[in-house]
Amino acid sequence: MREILNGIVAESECWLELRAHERRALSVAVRKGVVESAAHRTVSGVGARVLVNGTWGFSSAASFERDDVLRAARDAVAAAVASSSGRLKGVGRLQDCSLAVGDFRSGNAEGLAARSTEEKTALAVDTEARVRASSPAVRSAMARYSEIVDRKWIVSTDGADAHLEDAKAEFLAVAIAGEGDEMTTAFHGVGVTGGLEDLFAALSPDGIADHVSRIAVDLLSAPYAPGGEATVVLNPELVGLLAHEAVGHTVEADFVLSGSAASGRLGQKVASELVTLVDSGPAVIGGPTAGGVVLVDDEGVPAARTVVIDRGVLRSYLHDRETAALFDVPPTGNARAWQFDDEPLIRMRNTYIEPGASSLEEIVASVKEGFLLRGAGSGQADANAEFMFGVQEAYEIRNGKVGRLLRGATISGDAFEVLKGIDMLSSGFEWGLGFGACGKGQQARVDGGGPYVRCRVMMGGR
Amino acid sequence: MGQSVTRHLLDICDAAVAAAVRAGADEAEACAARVRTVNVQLQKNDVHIAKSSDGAALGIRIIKAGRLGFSFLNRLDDPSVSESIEAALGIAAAAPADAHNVLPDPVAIEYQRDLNDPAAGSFGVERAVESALVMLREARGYDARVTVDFGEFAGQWGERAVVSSRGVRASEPSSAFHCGVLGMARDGDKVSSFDYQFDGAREAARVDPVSTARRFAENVVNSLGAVKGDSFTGPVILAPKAAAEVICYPIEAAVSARAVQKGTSRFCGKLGEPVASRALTILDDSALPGGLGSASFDREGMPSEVLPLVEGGVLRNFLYDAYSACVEGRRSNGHAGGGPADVPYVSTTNVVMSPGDVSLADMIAGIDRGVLVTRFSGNVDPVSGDFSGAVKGGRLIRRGELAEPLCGTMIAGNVFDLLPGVTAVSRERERMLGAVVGHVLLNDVVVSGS
Repeated sequence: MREILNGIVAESECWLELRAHERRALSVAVRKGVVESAAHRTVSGVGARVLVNGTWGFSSAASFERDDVLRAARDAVAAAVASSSGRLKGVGRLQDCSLAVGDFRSGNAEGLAARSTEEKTALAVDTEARVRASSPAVRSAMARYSEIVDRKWIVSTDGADAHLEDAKAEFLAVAIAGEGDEMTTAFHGVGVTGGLEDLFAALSPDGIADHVSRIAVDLLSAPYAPGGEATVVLNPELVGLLAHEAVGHTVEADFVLSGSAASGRLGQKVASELVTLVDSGPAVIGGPTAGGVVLVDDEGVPAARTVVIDRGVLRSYLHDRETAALFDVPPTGNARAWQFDDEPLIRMRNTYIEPGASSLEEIVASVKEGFLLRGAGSGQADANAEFMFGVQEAYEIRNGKVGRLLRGATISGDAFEVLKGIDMLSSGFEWGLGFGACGKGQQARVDGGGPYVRCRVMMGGR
Repeated sequence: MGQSVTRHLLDICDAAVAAAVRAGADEAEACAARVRTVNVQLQKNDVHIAKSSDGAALGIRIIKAGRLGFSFLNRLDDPSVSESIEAALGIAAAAPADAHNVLPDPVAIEYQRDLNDPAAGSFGVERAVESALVMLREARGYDARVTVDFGEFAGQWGERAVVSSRGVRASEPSSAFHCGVLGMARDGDKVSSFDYQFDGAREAARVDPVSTARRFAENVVNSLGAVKGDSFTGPVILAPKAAAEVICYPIEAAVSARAVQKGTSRFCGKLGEPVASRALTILDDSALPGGLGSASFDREGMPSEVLPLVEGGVLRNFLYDAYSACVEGRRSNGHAGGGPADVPYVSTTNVVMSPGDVSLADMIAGIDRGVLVTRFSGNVDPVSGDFSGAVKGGRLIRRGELAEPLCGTMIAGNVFDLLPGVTAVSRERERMLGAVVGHVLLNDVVVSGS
């Protein structure tokens, strides 16, 4: 493969990047005792990206044959030429950097391959059955195991020549409890760059089943959360969501150039001095198994640990080689493509807030009236840093004591205002966003996490 | 695309089905597609990238001793297909048996004629660039404060085919074109709400980048200088995009026969009963002319019946694929969704809300204090019907008139509890990708502001 790609790149008259990508995926989804979906998917081919007349062109071939790849490269040139007349301001240059050469491995492809399809199917079947058996109030349940194993070769005219192997696994359990017309849902998802041992390192499949059924049943009798501004303690999963969704997207350099809330604020205080926010490819904090691990990005740039906010001050945006040149900074290794037929976009990897010095007990004890919030629902955020997240479990805090569970809570606010208000962080650290995917036209596997933090947000409820 | 290419795709499916049966499957189904895609994207108020590609897809579903296996690949050559069939058989061997895993028997298909743009083959990057630039200029020309973060003009066309060992054999060409624009307005330190507008059609010439850009620009400029509203419980008008998310989405989930059978539908046992006010009628229309959800047959090769879902507030139909139909000993009504990469699931086609007899202006004029929600950014739980989220690009309604734009305002409620309180649906409707939806007036929604 490398020889074919290098041969084509060597003959190119323009800047050319070829990315061969083979993805093998397995997923098994079980709902109420029925295997609804058990699927093996293989998607493979080569993406060709060119820069001609200051304009990007892209095409792809669902093949590894030399002639097909060559045709894709020519189509990409034709697309760039055809669109270049409409481009107002051409891409000046791509930032020079030391591009990756060699072999890079993450995850545990062998470990996943060594476990049988039967075992992985049983994992979903047994967990789903356990959720339903846990309580007569559980009406329905779902469990899903999935894995993706990637092999990539990235070669470009300016020196990238990397071979990458990566394997990620994830697991989800959902409980739906009901009483009359009332229904409540609880879910727990985990995702890792690694094998089954890593996937269930924090909580076993049975533990996950018991957790979701208990929460779904408890939510049935829980009153609705009230609306209004409140002091809250966010768990690491929600901190990860805040770091990724509400802050991270605003510092993606393509959004910055379009005028996001982080635009023009480099060097400014944007958060409490207790806050250091990082987006890291290798994700060394908490071990190498975070769900968004990227060692080399899809432009062939080694994926760095990027300190976005250092003790409250905005220090860096997230870049590909085009925006890095515009800002005249080193690229940060954030250019990612989902499949061979996608072009690289600026995406996050593992985005987190670094831990502080308090214990969770101290943080809860400090809250006179507020809420302890656990578990992220779906989240959305605008480029103006306004965000809205669903919260699975909201517990009242009164006089430093955690009280009853409430349902239907959401939180919203201006992310940077929330960051400025963070006044306590716990010393522990957890990843919590490895399950699922971030969407920005394409999917990307990401992770997010942090400590428990105390801050003020707008609560939505009834 | 020519007839010969369509036949070729059917031939590939025939061969895959025969090979799967030879390899040991009791029943087999192949669903394939070939698609050409042209896409020009805008970024940062400029052309960003032009893309063109040809793609292929083949999904193979096999049933062996009641066990289901599925595999997908993006190549159509024989060795790759053989390997994929083995993968599907391997999956089936690991799965528990289920007597309801069946493929449907063939049913005569009446082919629709307007699914394909006859001129699609001549659509190229140049045309997509031209249309994308029209959209960009219109948005930026509306107001200098408007900034386009992302936009695109794209087309895809090709054909799809479904063949099964039960004798299903169907194929048809189709095309879809769309434009979309996403961004905000910025005035000094004031940043508007994000907005996203789009338009789609079967024919490239019917996609309207000008009005799409204008709607986008109006929305972002109008949401500059937003203020936090008060907290109250009262009337809320959901504009079509918000209504599609808050009203239609949970209804679509609740009319799935699979959801009913799993006990996760609020409509369980309510067929023929009122579930909403008389103002609400929603149809699933697979034959909507020009609808992007229109198709002559579903993912399993069954013709999709045109069905009222909620008619004058009364629940009329559930949607079935072959599996859910088998559970109840009835025939599928042709609502298996998904593409070649998906194991079929129950899905709507085009969701069409019938127009009401009141204009949006009259709707607003009748409200003393309320909120117009242009876009909803939040969570809708399709099982319970609970929704809670932020009002985006919203406007306060005061004494019958649109007042200041809102920010930091949230709405919450349970859509199934609120459906009987739907006071009106507007005469005006907006066509979206696979949906036609009006403005919906809901009473007694909890609005949380400052």
